[in-house]
Amino acid sequence: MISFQPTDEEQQLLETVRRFSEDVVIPDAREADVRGEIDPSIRGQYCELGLHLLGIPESLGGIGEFTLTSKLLMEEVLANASVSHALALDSAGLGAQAIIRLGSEAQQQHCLPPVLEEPNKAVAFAVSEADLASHTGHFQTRAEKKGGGYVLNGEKLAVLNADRAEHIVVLARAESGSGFSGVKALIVEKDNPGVTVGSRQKFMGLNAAPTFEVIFTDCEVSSEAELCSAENIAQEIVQVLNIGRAINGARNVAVGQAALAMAVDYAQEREAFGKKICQHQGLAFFIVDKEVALNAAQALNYKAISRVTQGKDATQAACLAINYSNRAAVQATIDSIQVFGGAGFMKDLNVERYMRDARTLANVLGSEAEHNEVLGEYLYPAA
Amino acid sequence: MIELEIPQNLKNIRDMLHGLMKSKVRPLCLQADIDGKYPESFYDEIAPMMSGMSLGGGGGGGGKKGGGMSEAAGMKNMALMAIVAGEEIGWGDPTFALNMPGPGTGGPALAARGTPEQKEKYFGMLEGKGAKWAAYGLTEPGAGSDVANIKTNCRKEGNEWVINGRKCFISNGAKAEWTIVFATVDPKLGHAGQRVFVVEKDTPGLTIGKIENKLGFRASETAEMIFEECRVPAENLVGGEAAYEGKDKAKEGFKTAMQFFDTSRPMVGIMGVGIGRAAYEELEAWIKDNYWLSRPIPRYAAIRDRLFEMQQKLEAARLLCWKAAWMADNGIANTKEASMSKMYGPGIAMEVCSEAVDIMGTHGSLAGTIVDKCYRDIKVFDIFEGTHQIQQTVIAKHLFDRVPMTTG
Repeated sequence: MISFQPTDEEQQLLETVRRFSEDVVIPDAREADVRGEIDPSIRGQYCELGLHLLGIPESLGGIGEFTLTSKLLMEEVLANASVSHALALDSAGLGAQAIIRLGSEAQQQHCLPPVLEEPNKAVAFAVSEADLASHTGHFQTRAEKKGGGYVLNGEKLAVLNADRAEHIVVLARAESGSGFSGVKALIVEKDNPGVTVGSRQKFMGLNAAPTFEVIFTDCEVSSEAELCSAENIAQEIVQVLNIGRAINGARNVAVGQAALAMAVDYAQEREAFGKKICQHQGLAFFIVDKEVALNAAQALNYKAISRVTQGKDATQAACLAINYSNRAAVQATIDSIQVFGGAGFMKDLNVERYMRDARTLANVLGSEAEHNEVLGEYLYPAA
Repeated sequence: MIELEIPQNLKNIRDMLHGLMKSKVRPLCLQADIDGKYPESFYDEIAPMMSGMSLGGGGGGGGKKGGGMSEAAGMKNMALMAIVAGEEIGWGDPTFALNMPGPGTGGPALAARGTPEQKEKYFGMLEGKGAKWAAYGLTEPGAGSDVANIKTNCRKEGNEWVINGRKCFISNGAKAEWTIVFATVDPKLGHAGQRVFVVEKDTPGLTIGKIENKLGFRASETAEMIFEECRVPAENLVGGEAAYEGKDKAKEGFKTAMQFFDTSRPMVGIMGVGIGRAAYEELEAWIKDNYWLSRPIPRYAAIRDRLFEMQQKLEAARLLCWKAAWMADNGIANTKEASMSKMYGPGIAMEVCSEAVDIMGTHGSLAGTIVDKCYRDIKVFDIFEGTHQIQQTVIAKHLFDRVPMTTG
């Protein structure tokens, strides 16, 4: 069956998220970008609305009718207002998804309900490394077997919300293997003496989404820390990343749409050479191309997340979705500034923030080449 | 004979300038990007080395006398010299071009259209000790691309002109000793109604509005200038009263405005190439250190293809700028080529910078790096000195020469 229609419950939810965005997020967006953090009181309001529970199973405190598809739709609305907020508020995020998909009942109960009850706690997900192929399974971070557990050594970058994380889900290589085979997902508790949450990392954009270096030095974890209850660990890790690809793709499309909406508006007001600038065909077509690309990207994200929600492998759909979404979003933000001319380059308008945010978000789960590498490995596996 | 080698004298200038950028400008540019300006010490040390070098200098700008560098290059390839220098400046820090003391953006219009007395007085004013700048005030809140649509007005009263209006996004507008200001006696007259003035700093009625906080190009000052019953002496009308009278002279103001662009557009194009090259070089070094040594062949090949495409675009853009400059040096009308270089260079450089950020992954978008700065700086090169779309319009008018083109 084909449908682009959200469920009735989702439509009501999205209405609530729109109001939340307008009343709470948008008024804080510009200031948060300058300050480098969101207004912390927003976390409580986000949790009161239950937005942190989307895509979490009912048994762990989630809301039955809301799937990861619902979460993606919610993230689109939020990221349209401020993608920094969407990330900073996503306390459960991919770390929680890893625990849900790979963890035992005991691990899930230990990690998730306490964090979901407390707006200022988080589960972090540590995947990125300095190495350019870290998103394809080439981790320099090592997990060596010791006794029943593991010893972790390595350095992770750009770990979102690590400062307030109760648990950090770490991807590390334990055995050699291609792609994600031989990679372990381990839960590290925040008070483990072998883990150091290092300095805050500053990026070109996403200023209000706090990300940190996380360093593991002879960090010992017990056998209970290993997320190994799934049948095919490597495939499930990739599926967790696929969720991230679809959701970040959707977030970035929303950033592109926010920028393009400003440009569309302005093009119908601003006059040059005796007419509205959108009445100059060259400029109208220039904008139209971006509108088409963003719509196509959105459909790719929907397909990727609906495969996840249906329990199907989403690797191909998600890799296509994130690469197309990032390209479309980056281009839409660059070209929306172009429509404004010099005014778009100034910090008085949000459009320059969108350009920084879109470019930064595009790299959060790896570069285009890394997604292509994962897709290549999936379509044409090494013999 | 067709030959695309830079002559030795220009190579020397290029190498000297590259050394200066690498040793003196690059170490300061990231902090200057945060602060929105270079420290005073920068001007004390570097400005004297660069006297006579100024944006658009290749088109007859520069000082009253030829600057040191233009003399060294010889007059016959001044435009090419500016282009060769411009790439290195773009590579080092593009804001350097506007931070260099001298007439800068204000120079070409005065040099081309000013009376001998005006040139003597105003170029002379910038000489001597201390860093001094001039500026060029055309853009208004309601008139950017559409130059004919400016609303700043002027009227003559006795021996004075009285100016009212607002100019925005004026580079060095707040620190300029004088600014070339465009105004109109009657907006309905379009280009024919426009008058051009030299307005000195501290003229009563001229106030500086806000200094812009920008995405990139941050170490260059961008100011708003407000004119309220601002009175300037009649002798400050650029070119004198006679220049605006009679049928042939009716578009003198507009011609003065456009005079700047045939020389400045290739300069902006090549600085864009320099920015793209800077990002490309950072990427290449990063890849060598972090990527391909330990990687299997197929992945190396995919990245290599993208690097080659970036190189190819940068080289094509560079050659378009060289061609526009070569035409200027040989007295060949180059309006179309100037527009092509301005349209293509910053356009592909934006793509190159974006590719560099992408390929470098998480590291690429880290704040406070050259690549981050390039990505933010390059955008405005597709906007100022005539947007991408204005260049397309100019090119279209030259291309479709048998049918009158409606603007836009």
